[in-house]
Amino acid sequence: MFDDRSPIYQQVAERIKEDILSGALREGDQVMSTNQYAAFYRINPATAAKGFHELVQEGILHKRRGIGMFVSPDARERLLRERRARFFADLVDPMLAQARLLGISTAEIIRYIRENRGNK
Amino acid sequence: MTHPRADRRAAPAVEIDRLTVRYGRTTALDGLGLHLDGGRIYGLIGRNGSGKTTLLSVLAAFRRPTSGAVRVAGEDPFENERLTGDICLVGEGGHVLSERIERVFALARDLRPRWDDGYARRLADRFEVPLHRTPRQLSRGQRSAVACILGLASRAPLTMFDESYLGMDAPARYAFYEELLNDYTAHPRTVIISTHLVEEFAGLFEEVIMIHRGRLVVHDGADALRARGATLTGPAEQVQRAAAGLTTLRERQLGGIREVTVYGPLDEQRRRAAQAAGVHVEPVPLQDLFVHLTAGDGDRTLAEVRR
Amino acid sequence: MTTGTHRPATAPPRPPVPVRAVVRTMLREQRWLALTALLLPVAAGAITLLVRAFADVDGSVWEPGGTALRWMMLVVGATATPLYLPTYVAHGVTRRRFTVAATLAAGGLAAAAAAYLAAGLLVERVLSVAGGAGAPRLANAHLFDSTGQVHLVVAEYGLAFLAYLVTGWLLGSVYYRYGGWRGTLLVPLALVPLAAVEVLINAVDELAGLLGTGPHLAVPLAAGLGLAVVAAGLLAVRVVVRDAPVRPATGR
Repeated sequence: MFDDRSPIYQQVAERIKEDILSGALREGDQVMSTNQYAAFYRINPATAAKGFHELVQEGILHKRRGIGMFVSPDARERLLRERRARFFADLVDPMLAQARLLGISTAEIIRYIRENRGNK
Repeated sequence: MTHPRADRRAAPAVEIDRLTVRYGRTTALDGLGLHLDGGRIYGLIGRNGSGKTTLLSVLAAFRRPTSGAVRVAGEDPFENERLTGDICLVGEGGHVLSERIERVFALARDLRPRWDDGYARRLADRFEVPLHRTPRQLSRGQRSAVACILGLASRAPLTMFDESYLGMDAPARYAFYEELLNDYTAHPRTVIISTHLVEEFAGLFEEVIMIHRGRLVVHDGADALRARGATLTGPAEQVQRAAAGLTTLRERQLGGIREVTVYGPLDEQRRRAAQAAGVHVEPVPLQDLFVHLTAGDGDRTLAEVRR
Repeated sequence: MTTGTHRPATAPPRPPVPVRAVVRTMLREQRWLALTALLLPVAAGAITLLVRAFADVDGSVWEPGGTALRWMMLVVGATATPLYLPTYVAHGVTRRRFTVAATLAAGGLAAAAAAYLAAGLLVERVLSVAGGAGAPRLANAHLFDSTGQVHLVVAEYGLAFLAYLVTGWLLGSVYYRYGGWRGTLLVPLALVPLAAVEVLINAVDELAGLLGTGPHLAVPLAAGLGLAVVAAGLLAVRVVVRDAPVRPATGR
């Protein structure tokens, strides 16, 4: 379900992106109509529509008049590229900042990753 | 994004102009002003006694305001033959006579111009309301369900639920949300839902109206409000700097750690600067925002928040 | 528009519910009165048989039915506003339409009850005469001299029932609108229609004497005055109810 800590339309868009990344939604698949989606998740139809609209704007989804909305052919590739770009900024940079604060050297971190990589 | 809205009569806009209602010496509404576009679902949020029910009563032509005016589809609803059949307000019990529920529905069928009897029966089935019982013989949850059914099946272009669902248990409430959304999609209308249970309902609302002590605190898109508040926690000095110039809803301090809840646009640059300075920035859930905006007196804050 | 979330509305404007539909729902709510109508002859018959078995009585047994129905009308009238106004307003009926419909319903109810009572008096008279006992003696004063004057019987009872209905309605409305204290202060005023009509029915002979004309003028005059007082009572109801607030329903 959605929480109240950030705009729901963003959460809708985010959730569909996750589904595409995980493969639950494949490229070319038809997605639920916003009305179905809204009723299913018990959210406002206009809010759901705004989330879908964002994805259409980003080119992740595209509309076919009179039929519905579909996952764009290159959607997964685009999302992966986007996520990869954000990976270092969103996850690695804060980790390094925290490490610096705690006095953990970069060499230590690299060693840790090398040693534990196989276990995960 | 544009929403081609339903026509004026089928989903009326609501205009509220300097609305004041007094009961003897008590002021229930104090110069309230609002404009609501037609064809949306509004959440009317306020604490007990904030004036929610009074506001809805005036819109439903249940009473006359002491001063000020309301307009539904451009007209005063009070004693307005053409309009009142298209306005429906249901409270928790619904205004029903003590007769079998099928007769309660029959009365609505005769008096409500857009009543859908088949839909009412399907809803009764879904909410497990026995049609041969009288309201007195029903559980509180079932009486709530009867009120909700009256509100839904009347298909009134302006439909208002005044905490109608309070007696229902969680599965019944969820069923109500689903039915409301489905029927609203099929028959667009203007819907106002009053509640103080923000968390569970908030997803349904396109826009939120918060009132406190008979005055408007805020009216904005539900999603806009979700992005509006932030709680800043960290070293007192840094937090103070990050919060400078923003409307403060609440402050707490424990030793050198300060926590400030602010209201207003915290832009990306400011957020990053605060985070870099070691300040923890967290979003404020709608429920908490409601609590902060309507806590105790808070009139000074309200004046700053109100636009 | 991405999705068709908001389909263009198909609902055309609807005309308001016609008054006759409102009247019909109101009369339907009073259908329990039919039971009273059925029980009245049973009670009258039983009392007649019982009394005749022990004593020789020539009084009408049906006549007290008129008194019973008067009080019943008062009760029915008293419930109209407190019980039904909030429900009708909550169902989108204006107070104006409610008042018009309830007036028509009251008129219909009073007429039906009066016709029923007149028919009963006639049947009682026919049975009594056939049994060789002559026409039953009436205990109360009336606008008619004989139960055979059906038009006068219906007019008198119709007027009386209407007066009781309107008085009840006014009492109920006054308490609904102004609450216990101020409501009670207004009771003497609210009782005027009932009192006036009773006085007119009982004092029609005195009225005739006063005018020096005889019953052929006094009776229509009394009936006319009675109707005027009832109309004034209805006007008072309208004023009291005109912008009476309706409290929203709660769970209790």
